[in-house]
Amino acid sequence: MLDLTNVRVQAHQALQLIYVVTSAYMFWKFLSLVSNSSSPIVVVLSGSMEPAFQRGDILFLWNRDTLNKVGDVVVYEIKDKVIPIVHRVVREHHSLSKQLLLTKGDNNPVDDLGLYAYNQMYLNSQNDLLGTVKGYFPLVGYVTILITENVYFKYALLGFMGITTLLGNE
Amino acid sequence: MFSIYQRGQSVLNFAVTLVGFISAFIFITSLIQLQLTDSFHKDSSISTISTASSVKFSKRFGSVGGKAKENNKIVFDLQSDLTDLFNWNTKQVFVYLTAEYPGKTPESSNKVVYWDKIITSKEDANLTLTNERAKYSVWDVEESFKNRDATLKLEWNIQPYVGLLTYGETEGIGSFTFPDVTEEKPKSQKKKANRRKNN
Amino acid sequence: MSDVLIAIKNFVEGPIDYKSQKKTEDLNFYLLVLGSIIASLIGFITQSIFNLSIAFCVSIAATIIIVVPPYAAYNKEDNLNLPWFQPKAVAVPIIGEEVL
Repeated sequence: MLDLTNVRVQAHQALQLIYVVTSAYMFWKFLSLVSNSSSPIVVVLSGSMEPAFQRGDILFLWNRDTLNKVGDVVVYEIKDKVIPIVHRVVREHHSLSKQLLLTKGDNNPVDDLGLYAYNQMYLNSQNDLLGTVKGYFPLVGYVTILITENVYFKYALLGFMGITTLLGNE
Repeated sequence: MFSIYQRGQSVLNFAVTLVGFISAFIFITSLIQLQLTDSFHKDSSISTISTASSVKFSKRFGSVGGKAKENNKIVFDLQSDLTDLFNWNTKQVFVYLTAEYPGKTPESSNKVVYWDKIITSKEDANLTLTNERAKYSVWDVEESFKNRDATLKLEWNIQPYVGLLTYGETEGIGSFTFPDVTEEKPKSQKKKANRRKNN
Repeated sequence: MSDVLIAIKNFVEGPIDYKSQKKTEDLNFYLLVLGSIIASLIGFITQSIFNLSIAFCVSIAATIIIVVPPYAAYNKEDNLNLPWFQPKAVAVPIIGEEVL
């Protein structure tokens, strides 16, 4: 005969896993809606804004400002480049309909003209920005850097999770 | 709380929740400290010593397709004491000297940075600059911006250890008018040609 | 679950009795709240986030040492001696017939 308690325990565990995944996803989407940014939380990968932002710090983005100010730290995307860049706005030129921005990393000697697409002289604040950095929390994002860049850490984490699900019962 | 795993889990969970509360405490007290020291209304004096414009043709100076682009630089004096911006949640203060000037139409406006500095310690926060040259050569979206009036301001941004980025500007105001282009001497052009070759 | 896994599980699990479960839960709450308040005060008075972090880490470590291990004091009550609930057989009438 089928052992019903065992099935129930397993179903319960599966439900809990689904609950964790969906609530994380809902939290992310909710933040996305509130901030109007497709990725409301980003992890810093480069050192071009040191010592303010170091590798592994996390930044909270906001994308509901109609105009950006000079001095704002923005996250922008360049056509055909995968990784978004976090740099500071050093020039802004706006009319009623649009705003052009020039950015620069605090720690870089020159502005970002060399990073932009071929013949691109400015960022368009409506199309190119993922958001403006509003909040900051140090170090937490280092976990994702370890997972993506260190294979051993990834396997250790997966192994630990496997063992805990095997041994743990609620 | 039955097993070791559950107890460890609940200690760490609650610790993470408390980290959130502690972060809020740190940020709020640092804001109160900024208010108490009147940091959002700091004095400063800014004066323009000289300003000069020249025409550039390289992409590094904003020229598109080799067309002429007017570039401007200034020399300035600046004094401001920003020591109070450093409290226990200040990781760095980024100060920048901005120039705001009107565009062609009344609705348009421009703001550019001529000089900036990363300050990481209280001891370096009392700024006294004399005959300081602008760090950046500035150009406009249009070819020229001569005869327009610009307003100089010293602004700052506090990057915290945790919390929101805080922005403010000092009270002092400087001004200048973008001059006519001074003719480039042949000598400096030769220098530029050499530099291009080296690059 | 195989016998080996159950043996490992019992060793790793470190169970404590029911009263102590309640006690460790309360201890967890009060120790960490107290620790974070003290850490915040230390940090603010010395105007140093580094000192705050150190103090808070110490309080987390202390809480873990007090709450997590299955000390003998947390196992004074013998869980196995709890009386089992004894189900009683009751006669239930089903469609007029009586069954035991």
